[in-house]
Amino acid sequence: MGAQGGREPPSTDVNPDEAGSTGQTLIKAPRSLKEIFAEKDIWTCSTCFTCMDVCPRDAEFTEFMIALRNLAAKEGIIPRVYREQGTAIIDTGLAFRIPESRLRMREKYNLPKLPETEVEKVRRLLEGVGFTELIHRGEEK
Amino acid sequence: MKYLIFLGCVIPYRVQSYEISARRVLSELGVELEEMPTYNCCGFPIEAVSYEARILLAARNLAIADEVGLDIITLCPGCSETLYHTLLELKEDEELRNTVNEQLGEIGLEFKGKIGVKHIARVLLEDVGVEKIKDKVVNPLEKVKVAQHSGCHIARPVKIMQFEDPENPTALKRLIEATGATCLSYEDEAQCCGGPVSGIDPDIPTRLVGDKLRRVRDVGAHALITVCPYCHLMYEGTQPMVERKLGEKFGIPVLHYPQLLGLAMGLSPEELAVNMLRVKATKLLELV
Repeated sequence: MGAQGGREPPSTDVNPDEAGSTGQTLIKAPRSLKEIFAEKDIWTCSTCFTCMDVCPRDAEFTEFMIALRNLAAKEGIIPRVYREQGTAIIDTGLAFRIPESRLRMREKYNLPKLPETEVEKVRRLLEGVGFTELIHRGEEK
Repeated sequence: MKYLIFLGCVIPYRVQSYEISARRVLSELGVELEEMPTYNCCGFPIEAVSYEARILLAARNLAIADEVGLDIITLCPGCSETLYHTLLELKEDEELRNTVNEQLGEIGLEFKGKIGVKHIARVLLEDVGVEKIKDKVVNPLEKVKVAQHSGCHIARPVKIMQFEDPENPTALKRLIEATGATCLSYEDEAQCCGGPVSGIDPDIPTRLVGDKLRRVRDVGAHALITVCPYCHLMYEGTQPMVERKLGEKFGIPVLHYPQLLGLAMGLSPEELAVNMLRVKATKLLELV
């Protein structure tokens, strides 16, 4: 199976079906970055760093995937899971919204109260790099 | 021995059993914890969207620790990798440090880079030490056989973390053996749980979780031992769903390492929140 979309990959000596998802992304070049961004491949790297650690040429492959994702985000292509975590950080300072039930559970199990985040300070930092605008970019109104 | 505890997001959100057992065990070992004031997300989850945001989120946490003056301990390898990686980047890159400090200055903070960051497994091995752990073991788990899963970010990227060879992980194994339990080997111990892509394509982690649990089951382990809240969620929390999807029964309890250690220290399963696990550790508890 090719990755997503019905389009055939360009002819090449390497069979992209055997190259694994991340390899496919690269083999599909030359294609526009926008086409690559529109597919799922660049988001399915788990950032486990294994390829980076074993690479005999010290290719910083994981960093490359992250850079591609950052570029995609600038084009407004952001998977829902990252939008949700990004907005949770803007709203609460944490990537997950901790439910009330969990906070009550902390009391039950004698865990210390969760520290207050001072979220307005976090927001101010993130505003400084345009994160709030970025996380909503390309969002369907 | 005192640390500033950085809880991160996943643990207070869903993995309280890890926090409960870790606090209990660290206290027994004489490791004192101070709560990290006003902390925010480490930055790992949104690095995919913005490298700059990751740097700033991590830098704010590091600057808070600088202000308190204590080294950070994390229970999550993702948090320790992100914070430590950022610490090195800020120490080594003066231009980046100056830019970040300008931004931190606006909220009254400064990154000084005077504190360290360690994951709990590293604190246990390097600062507490295996000998001291063994001294606290009053109930060696001699009949218990487990398998280990350290999680990727505890040792990767190697050139940043400088901890152990992730292809041949021995850190968690040594900690497990200190409890008296046997740590069984199985195929591809270093394989990732797939957690970070679960929100993109759930079929990938389903396959990876299935692979791991099958291998662990087939070597006859009574449990899988983790030191990462996210890996735990994947192997434990999603196990019933993965079993349904793959049409295969695993029934592998997944314990946080502090739970295993706590049992060997003679603490009760309740004190260690073992009862909070979805996949019940009945067989293992019979052997304790």
